[in-house]
Amino acid sequence: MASTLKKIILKSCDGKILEVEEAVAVQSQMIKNMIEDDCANEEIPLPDITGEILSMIIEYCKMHVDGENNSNNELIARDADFITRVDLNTLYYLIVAANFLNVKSLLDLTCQRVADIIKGKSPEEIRLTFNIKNDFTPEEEEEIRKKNAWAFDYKD
Amino acid sequence: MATSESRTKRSEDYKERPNLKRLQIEKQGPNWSDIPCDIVECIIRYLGLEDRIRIRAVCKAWSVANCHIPSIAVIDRFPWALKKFGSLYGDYRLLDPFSREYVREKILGGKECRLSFVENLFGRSRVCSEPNPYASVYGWVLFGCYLALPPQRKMMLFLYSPFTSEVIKLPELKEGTVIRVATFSLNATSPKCVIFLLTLEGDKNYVKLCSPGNYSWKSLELNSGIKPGHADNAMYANGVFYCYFLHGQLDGFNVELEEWTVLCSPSNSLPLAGNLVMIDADLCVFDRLGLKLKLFKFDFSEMRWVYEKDLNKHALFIGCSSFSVPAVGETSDLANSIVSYKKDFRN
Repeated sequence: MASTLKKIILKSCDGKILEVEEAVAVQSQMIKNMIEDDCANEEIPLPDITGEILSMIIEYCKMHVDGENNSNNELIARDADFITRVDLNTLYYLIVAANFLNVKSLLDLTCQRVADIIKGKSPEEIRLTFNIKNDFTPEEEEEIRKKNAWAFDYKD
Repeated sequence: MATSESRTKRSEDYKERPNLKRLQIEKQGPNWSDIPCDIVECIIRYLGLEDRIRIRAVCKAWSVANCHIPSIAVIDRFPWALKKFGSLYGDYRLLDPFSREYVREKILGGKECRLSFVENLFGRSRVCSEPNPYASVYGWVLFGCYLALPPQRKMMLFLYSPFTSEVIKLPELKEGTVIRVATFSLNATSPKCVIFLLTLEGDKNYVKLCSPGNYSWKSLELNSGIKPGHADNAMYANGVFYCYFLHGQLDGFNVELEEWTVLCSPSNSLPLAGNLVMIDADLCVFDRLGLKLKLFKFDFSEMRWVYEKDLNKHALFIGCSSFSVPAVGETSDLANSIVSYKKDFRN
């Protein structure tokens, strides 16, 4: 059995090395699987995650491990505090990294945040907010709008 | 469900992607339309109905055209949980199963277009009763309203999709036909869709059937041994239209065999008036007159109703048709909750 004090070494794409306690690292299902398969004895390279994002994710996982005995409400409050500090660009990298590392609670939290930002916005506003290019032809867009006209009518 | 298996698989693909792309996006900020489909799906789960539809128009990757995002399309299958307001020509509201809020009233109403589709269909002067929603499945609603066709009044039935504003007219019914229950199976655009009515003409009961596009109703007289009494509620499941009558009497009409069967006799311990609902694969009925949820599941091996203490982690939506959704994962806070506008709904 692996000792709980065992450290897992993670290497970000910009070369930052982070030593993480196993209890914290296994919040990531992907790392957990690697440990179980005995593939985590050397440093684990994370080619798409920067040191900054990785530190945030570890901060988040730590918060959850340390807060295990806290009440649910307290954890929700801490989650909210964590996520509202994140700007939109960082949120993108966080969501992609949480998906890659398979940290379920962080993925849920980040997706919820994106959904909250989307809520009540028109497609144009969503595109502007998220810097998305409109790749529909005018005809295609018209077709989508026509099909569900009621959802695109904002006059209240 | 796309489980961890597919996620791991995608993660592997992701790992193999060159870093070049990352360098590119760092210059101009990330491109959200690139985000993996399973993440988009996850985001969608936190959105209500209107937002789910709107984000289809953002970009191709987020639209319904993207076959990797099936969960957006699923909304079309939800019944419309309609609430009726006002008197003449009433307004209708759609209940959003995802956010449990009413989608804005204007969908079907709004002052200038209050069910004007009905008038457009039949002519303003001919519509002489407020259209009533009988049932809703797969995003379609079965409406009925009276038309003045002097010297008679006739009941007209039609299917309407508030999503697309499509209307499918159904064959006329003879004067003096009283509809006891009306519902339909499957998506109205499917050729196999069947509209099912139980009607009273004089003192005779009839089952009437048609499919969209038919010119007349197929009429089957119920033999005198079957006395449906007050027909209460009907719903379709697995090839059978189930009808719930006074105090728990359950009858079934098999569409393929065109066979009527009494499945369960009435008993005073069962709800006087009940609404049928499927909870997963189980046929259930709840007391629609009581103030508290009283739920029974039909046990097909013993052919009797069995009391259920709760909704088994489902959320129940009560409308002109009722439906349930499993409350799991992100929606677990919906477990055992009821969304209803009991006082107003009719059948």
